[in-house]
Amino acid sequence: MDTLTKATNLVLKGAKLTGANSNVSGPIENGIAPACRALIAPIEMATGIQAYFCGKPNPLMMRTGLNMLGCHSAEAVMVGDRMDTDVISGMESGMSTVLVLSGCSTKDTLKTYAYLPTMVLNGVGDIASMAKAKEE
Amino acid sequence: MPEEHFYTSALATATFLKEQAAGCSAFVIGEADLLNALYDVGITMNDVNPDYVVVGEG
Repeated sequence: MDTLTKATNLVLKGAKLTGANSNVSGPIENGIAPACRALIAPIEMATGIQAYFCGKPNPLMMRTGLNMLGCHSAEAVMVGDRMDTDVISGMESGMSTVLVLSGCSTKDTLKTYAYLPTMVLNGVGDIASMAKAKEE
Repeated sequence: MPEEHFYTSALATATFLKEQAAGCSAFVIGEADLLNALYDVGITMNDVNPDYVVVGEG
């Protein structure tokens, strides 16, 4: 609480508010813990200032990654287990997208979004078996 | 696999701050990976009058 109060007053004095990612919660041993998006919310509410988030789903992170790889978006694939961060950021950056069902998404998850991944796989292991099948 | 094959939201935040305001200062709420990423691009820690408040994981 002291840290949040400190941060709130620093933002009111002119510091710009930035969040690393927009995750609301993350898994811990006995349940979930509030993550970045949830931790920054009290500072936003108290100051009336909206934070800027650098990580997914901000396409900035995808574009920087592509630059580091020296790769065009049309030649890149974004693989992830979340529609609201992984697939959307890949799609909005012009990449092909793969949703894997080995994390927090199921086939039913797809029904609630207006966009689709290019491909749905059970897990990243499927990528290796598909590549191997193509070689043979 | 070497660490340069990983690009995290902490590294994306560090890159963003370096490009927006090289040499800026920050008050950081987060874990070691975020602090290290910010140190590595030359951002200094400041809890009096920082340019940015940066939040990672608690």
